[in-house]
Amino acid sequence: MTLRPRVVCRSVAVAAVAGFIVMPGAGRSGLPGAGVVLDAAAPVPAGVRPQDDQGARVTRTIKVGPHSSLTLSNIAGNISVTGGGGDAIRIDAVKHAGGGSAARFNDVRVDIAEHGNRVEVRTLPFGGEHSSVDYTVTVPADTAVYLRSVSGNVTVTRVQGGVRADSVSGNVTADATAHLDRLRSVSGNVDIRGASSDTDLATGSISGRVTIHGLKAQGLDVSTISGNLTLDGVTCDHLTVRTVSGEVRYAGPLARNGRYEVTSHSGDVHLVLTGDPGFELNASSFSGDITSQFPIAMHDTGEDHGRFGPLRHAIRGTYGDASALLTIRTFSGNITLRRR
Amino acid sequence: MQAADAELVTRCRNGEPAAFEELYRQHAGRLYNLAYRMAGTPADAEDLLQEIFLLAHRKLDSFKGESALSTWLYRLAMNVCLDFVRSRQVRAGRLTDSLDDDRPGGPPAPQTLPPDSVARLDLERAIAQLPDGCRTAFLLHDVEGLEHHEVAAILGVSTGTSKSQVHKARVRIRLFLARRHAAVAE
Amino acid sequence: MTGCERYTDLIGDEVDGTLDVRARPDLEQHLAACPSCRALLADLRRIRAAAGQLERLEPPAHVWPRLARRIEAERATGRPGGHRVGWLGPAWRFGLAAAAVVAVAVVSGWAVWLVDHRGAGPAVQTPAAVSAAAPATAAAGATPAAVAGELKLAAEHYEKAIAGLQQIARAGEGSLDPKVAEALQQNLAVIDQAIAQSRAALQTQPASEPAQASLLDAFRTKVGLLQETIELINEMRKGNEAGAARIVQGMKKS
Repeated sequence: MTLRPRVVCRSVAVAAVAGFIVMPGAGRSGLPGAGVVLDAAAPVPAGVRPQDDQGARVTRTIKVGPHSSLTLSNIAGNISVTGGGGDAIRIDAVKHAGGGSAARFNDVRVDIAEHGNRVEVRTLPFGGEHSSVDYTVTVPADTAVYLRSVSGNVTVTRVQGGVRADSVSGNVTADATAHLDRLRSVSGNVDIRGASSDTDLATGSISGRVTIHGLKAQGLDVSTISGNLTLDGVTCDHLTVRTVSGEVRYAGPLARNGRYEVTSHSGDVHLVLTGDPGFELNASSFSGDITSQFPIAMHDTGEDHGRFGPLRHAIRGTYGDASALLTIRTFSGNITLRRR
Repeated sequence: MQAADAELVTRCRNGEPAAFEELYRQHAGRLYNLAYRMAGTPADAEDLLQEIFLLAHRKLDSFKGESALSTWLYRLAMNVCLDFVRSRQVRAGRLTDSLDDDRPGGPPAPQTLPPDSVARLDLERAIAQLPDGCRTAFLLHDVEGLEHHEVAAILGVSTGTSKSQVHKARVRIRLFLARRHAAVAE
Repeated sequence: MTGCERYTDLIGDEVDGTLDVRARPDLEQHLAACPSCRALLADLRRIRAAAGQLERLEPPAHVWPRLARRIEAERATGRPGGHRVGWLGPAWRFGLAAAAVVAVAVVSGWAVWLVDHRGAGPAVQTPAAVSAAAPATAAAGATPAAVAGELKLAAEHYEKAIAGLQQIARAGEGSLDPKVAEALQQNLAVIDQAIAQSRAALQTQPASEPAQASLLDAFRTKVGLLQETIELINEMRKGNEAGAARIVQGMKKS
């Protein structure tokens, strides 16, 4: 057996962080004092003048052509983007003053930049108590949106041009969207309803749960560490589900020649299959139980693993026309397959 | 399945020693090139080639001739390559996608690519950064020269999907090359 | 460029040389009026042509002899025909390789090392070879002991990589919101528990493939989570840098 690792040139970006900033973080008060050391290379966006008073609300309507794109990064506060008709991107940003005394709306600044068909919106912090900004945006249906938030929720509805949404502690929700590319949260939940992707969608959370109701994609990669995963009515050619302690529920059909891979450590894996599935099954668990309502023609013994047959910790066999490939591995989680 | 292929497969199944070598000689070149462009390095491609033929040897008994032998081999090879590529991707690697990377939905470039921008090395790099879905189709169609219906059979998709995936790959390559050339020119 | 999407398929067919004769006038009319699509067509043609001209590599000469030996070894163990490769086959092997790749890359950019077990050990005749539960170990030259040894090596490399990443992550944790840092810590603990359980299982059943796979999976997941944490820290820092620039700008003006 050969083991030949090769050096992969993927930079772990940490080493590249040059300047060193000491700065009041979110939630801490006080003006930056002598402790601020600046990396002089940090770019300053054009037209930012802290003396301007934006006030509590910023609205802007920007006319765009087809296949426009919107990039929005926010810190605290929710982002809600809805696709519709029309030919303009409408931004409505409402600031909420951070805790404490008088409203200090200059603590945050909504920076909007237009580059042809690309609109870039950023919430710029100016230290002090962090105000939050809630964004409500409408875009033409074919706009591509790239959204980033730290502690706010991100919701995307009926956007057809492409969606990437990341939040750290907020929830990420995509409703009736097409061309999903990536949806992730760290501690928030991810909810996808009635969506599609024309290639591969990567989604997941670390501790939050992932719920998908109705998704059509070529490839789907879903992962959590401890959050539960629910996939209902998902059609895709290849599916990869990974979790450590989350429970996995898959309900729906299997695509012919589809490849499904589910890996869990202690979370149970439940597959409820609809339609007329035919699959090759490779299921194994160290200590979890594997039960299948489908009689499996076993490779090694040739016998049928009966409906409520003996429990085993490794099953390799086929059902029906064996067109789909199911690979399910757990350590202690139970694996069950049944019909709906 | 072609008569010549059928004969070769039968001979392999019968355990004729020279037969499998003949199978190898006929198909290894193509599958090696595919593995190389999926995996990225000659060393990995070599490992993959071994796995592919080992798997082919094991599964030959279950090959019923429902497709051409080369289609069957390509499909097997593609699965091995995809498994390898995916198990190699550490999940967090996807987080390195910045918001400013290739957005194929952007406005199309009005002018053609400069004359020297479709250089071999640049093209190899462009191919390497394609997402799996369209890279596989592109490699099979434009690099290996297969027809769309064959690509579709190998990948288990419709001919329409094969065409759109290949088109998507070409467009992404074009964007990559244009940007690369612009970056170099600066 | 409204209307150009209609011609996507036709342009594609034209590049392929399979454009329907009846559609040609429509396409040509559009091309005459649309420089953007003309450029697109020209470029895609070049790309396709260049792709077909890419270097054709030949597999090295030593591949066949090695392959032949492995096939011979498989034949010798009397595997029944039509026996499918267990899932633990290629994917698992590459799992080990991938583990080491990640470990080496992350810890330092050094040495490409080679561990070749092919020369070592007798041809496989161990009970494991005929058990359906361990097809991977039936590959030529891999005794259970060799496999356990490789697992141990992979584990060591992972642990080194993890230690390095953990150090970096801890150093930068201050940039993260405390609640987020806590959530990440908790989930690291979940993974650590999975690692401990897998290890314990391997103590009692060292040859168990599920246990081996679980351990490697857990390691990979931990590396992934640590890398994600570090990326997050960097994002926070980048954001802070941009914000600090604004502050200093403001300070200069006041």
